[in-house]
Amino acid sequence: MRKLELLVAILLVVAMLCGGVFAAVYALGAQIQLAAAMLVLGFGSLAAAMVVWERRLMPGRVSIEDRGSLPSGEEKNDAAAQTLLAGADAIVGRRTWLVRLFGGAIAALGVGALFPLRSFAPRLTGIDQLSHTSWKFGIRLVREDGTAVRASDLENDSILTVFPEGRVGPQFIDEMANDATVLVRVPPAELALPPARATWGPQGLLAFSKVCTHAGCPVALYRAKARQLFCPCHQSTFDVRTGGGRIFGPAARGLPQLPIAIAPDGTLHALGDYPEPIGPGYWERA
Amino acid sequence: MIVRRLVGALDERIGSSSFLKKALDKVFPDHWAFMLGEICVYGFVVLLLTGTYVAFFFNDSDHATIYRGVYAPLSGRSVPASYASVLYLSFEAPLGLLIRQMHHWSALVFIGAIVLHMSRVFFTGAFRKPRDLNWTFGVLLLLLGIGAGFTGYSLPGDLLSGVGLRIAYSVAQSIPFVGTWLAFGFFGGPFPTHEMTQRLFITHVWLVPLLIITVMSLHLGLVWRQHHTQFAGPGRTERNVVGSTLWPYYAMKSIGLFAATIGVVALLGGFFTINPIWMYGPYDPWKVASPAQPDWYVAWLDGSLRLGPALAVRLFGHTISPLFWSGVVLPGALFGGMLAWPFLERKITGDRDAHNIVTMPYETPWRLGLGVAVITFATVLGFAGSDDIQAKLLHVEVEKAMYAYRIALIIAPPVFGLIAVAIGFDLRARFETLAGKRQIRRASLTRNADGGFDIDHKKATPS
Amino acid sequence: MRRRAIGFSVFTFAFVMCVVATTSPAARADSAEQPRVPSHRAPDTAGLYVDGIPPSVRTHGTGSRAAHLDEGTVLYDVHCTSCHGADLRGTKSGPSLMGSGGVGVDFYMTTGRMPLAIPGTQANHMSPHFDTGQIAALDRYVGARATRSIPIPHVVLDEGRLQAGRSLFESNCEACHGVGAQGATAGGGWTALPLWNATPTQIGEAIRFGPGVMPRFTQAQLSPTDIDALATYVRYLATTPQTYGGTVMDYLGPPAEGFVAAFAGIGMLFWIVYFTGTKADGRRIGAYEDD
Repeated sequence: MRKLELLVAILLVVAMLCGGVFAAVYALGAQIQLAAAMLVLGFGSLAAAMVVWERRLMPGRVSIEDRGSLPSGEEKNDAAAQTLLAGADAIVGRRTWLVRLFGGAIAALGVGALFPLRSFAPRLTGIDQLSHTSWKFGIRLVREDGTAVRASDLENDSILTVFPEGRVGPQFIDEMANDATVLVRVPPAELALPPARATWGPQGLLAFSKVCTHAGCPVALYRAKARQLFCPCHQSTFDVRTGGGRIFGPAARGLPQLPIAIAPDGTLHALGDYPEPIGPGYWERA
Repeated sequence: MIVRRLVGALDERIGSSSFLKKALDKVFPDHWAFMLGEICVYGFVVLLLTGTYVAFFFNDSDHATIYRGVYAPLSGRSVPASYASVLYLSFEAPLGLLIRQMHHWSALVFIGAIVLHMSRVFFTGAFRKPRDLNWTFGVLLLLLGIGAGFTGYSLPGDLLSGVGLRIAYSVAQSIPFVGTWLAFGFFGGPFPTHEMTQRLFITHVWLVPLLIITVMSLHLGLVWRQHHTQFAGPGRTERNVVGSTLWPYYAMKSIGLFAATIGVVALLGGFFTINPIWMYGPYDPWKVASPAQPDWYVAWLDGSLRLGPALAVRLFGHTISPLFWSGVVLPGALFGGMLAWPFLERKITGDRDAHNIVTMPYETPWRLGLGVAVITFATVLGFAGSDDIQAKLLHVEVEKAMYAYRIALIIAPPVFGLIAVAIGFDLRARFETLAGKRQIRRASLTRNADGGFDIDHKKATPS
Repeated sequence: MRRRAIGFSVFTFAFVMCVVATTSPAARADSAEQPRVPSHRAPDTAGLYVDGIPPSVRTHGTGSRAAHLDEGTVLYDVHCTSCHGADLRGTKSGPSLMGSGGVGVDFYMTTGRMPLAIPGTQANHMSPHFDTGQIAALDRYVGARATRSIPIPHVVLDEGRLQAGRSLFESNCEACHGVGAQGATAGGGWTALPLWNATPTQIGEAIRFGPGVMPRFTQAQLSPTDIDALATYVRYLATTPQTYGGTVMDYLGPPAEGFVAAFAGIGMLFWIVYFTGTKADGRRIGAYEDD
């Protein structure tokens, strides 16, 4: 027993020292690993001391406690129920119409109190804004820093994230989240665009929404030689050559394609907004 | 005799002494499995302490500020004020990074301990009447724990959590009829919004902790009222609790466990980097980092999103996105099943009695199998949530890994479940034979005037 | 005692697994040594032995002919023709090299990606198989025949552009290569490789050429100064351990953290609970067990 007492004593002294050293570590530059080591050693020793103390130094004994019985018995249940009913009777009596009015008052106040919740969604009136982005006819494609993109800036196997001109910068972050578009270039001969979009890939330049149609992650990985866009979040994969068609993964739709054209000065501009709402599906989406 | 005077003084005012005596003498069963829940409590205490500390440093504004702190690669960058405040806490407040990392680690440990504790309660049948109500509180606590974790993980305005928030927004939006209302209701409008950091903050530091404290109080209050369960054994009956008293035995043990919890969390917090937001960078919604994963307690949902069917339903001008099946229906069914299980089991077995003696897992092979199957299901989903990392480390195609996980998700749960059922039946048969051979004697103990116990072997113990 | 032993060994096993799983990749991250073979230095002899034949034998051992033939021709014939074809236009086993003059040859050779041991597999970064002179000769050979040559970029590290490099890295690189340039899955069986061993020149070459499935970046997308900045940040990642809060676990993020939480955190606490919650040598059981 004396040995164990000594052990507990040593552990407690270690814990005490650790407290002191911890304070010293903080004062002398607060090195994180040293401080953490002191906490580990200090609290570890304290825990060990208490466990050894409880297990080996304290007299062992078993205690037995009567649980008692949770159920109070039928009699008391009945009495409680009786009191409830009697009280209710005193309130209601024959005044059931008053009770109905009371219920109505509570309901009206409750429903009324729900209305301020609507303030949490100030932009709920604009659900249809989900189906638009800032892209419009004639808007030029610009980089993250606002500089215009020229057709000659991209070669085959290139990818660039672009935004509508005038909608970049810290004050437009919300718009940029949904306007983000990837511009890629592939040899025009490889294209197999749907007939309706035959002209949407001028000189092999194609623009797709960067917002995954599955869960909204940026589809930022481009396997250039395979002409595939790949979402790092849930591995949905889209084929650039077929106009963003889905080829693998949990996304149910392909990536929306942005119609673009090359202006005479070589810059690129949009021919309109995305033909369908970008990003994941939602109830109001037609 | 200061103690006597204090107790007396308190008793004169609030009549506390009879309760105090009862409380100090309260008996807890001596079995390690009953202490798992205590890790949750102490994990939560560490969370509150460290969380309060870091909250004093956090700025819940998303206004763009120029970072001028000591972390060189981000110097001069325009970042949200929230992100800058977490960088300050991490690099300039002495030991701020340690306390922040301890906060995050204790969250992972807290929810892990909840899962362990719930597994114990499930496999031993401790959720049966009268504790079915308390099981409900437990499931709520798990949900709240996940909510607390996810809102906290999303707070610092970093790239990794920003992407996760957008996924959460999209999942909310996928719910038929009310999805957009719910998503807009929390975020204010179409993602991303300027309200979200503020709302996440108040949710994380006030709303969810308040709910956790409330439900945890109810949970512990019911444990206090109903007493712990205990395993069958000599002298143990449905009407008593055999073990050690709160004072002094359990108090010593429990405070020792508290110290150990702090020590373990400090070990993780000091030596294992968690959520290095300076590496992720501020959240710009058009950027993403690979690999992109949530914390482990949400990993199973991420896995569900990966494995889920690419099935969109379009009807009458409306769309139900694939996220609905894997992000709402599946977790809803899982948690719904957990909430309903005590009542379902009562229906199935017809056992309407109250139980204070819990069983060993093998004594109910079918329940064992069900639990193993559900845990396998969640584990497969959780591992599928990092299939891209495994693909890289094991040099396999991530597409093949995804197909493998889809197959495993369907095959593994019943297989492992049935194996567990078989093991359960086998063990039960073995132990029954053993018990028959040994003819374990049962004894009845009665407390005598000296405070000791009289043993009566003849008196049959009700069970 | 036996129970305690089991508990202890289970815990120890879990903890050791954790430490092994987390520190070994991190050790790689932390060591962050300079690239094993900087492009200006001649490679060690070990790298010269391909298929067990010393290159001197293979390139110069063809007798008197070797003296008259251009070194690049010999190297190409011996090491490249089988996959890329004598006319550089590629075969079933390897792509055309018509667009690979300049950076293409230099990048694939200095990073040891070529010659590839098993055609059709993804090439990995390793020690170069040829010395700088041989690589230059091959480059001249291919450059003279290819339809397109991209000049080898001259990359200069510039500490002052670290922040710019960081921003460019976030916008252009980390979606594939990861936040710590640790590499990540690119899907389709491809991996975006770790960048820790790449030299500044190789970083520039990869950006311009787009090896494997990697996209290529034109001058209009990333200017030479942008490449300097990017290379500066990538070298910073390779040489500056980000271990302020302990091991970074290869930047694997939450899954690695979950692993540590489960095995180290919960594992330790489970063991502590198992130890404290079990009775000490049955003394208390003895109070009512009379066997």
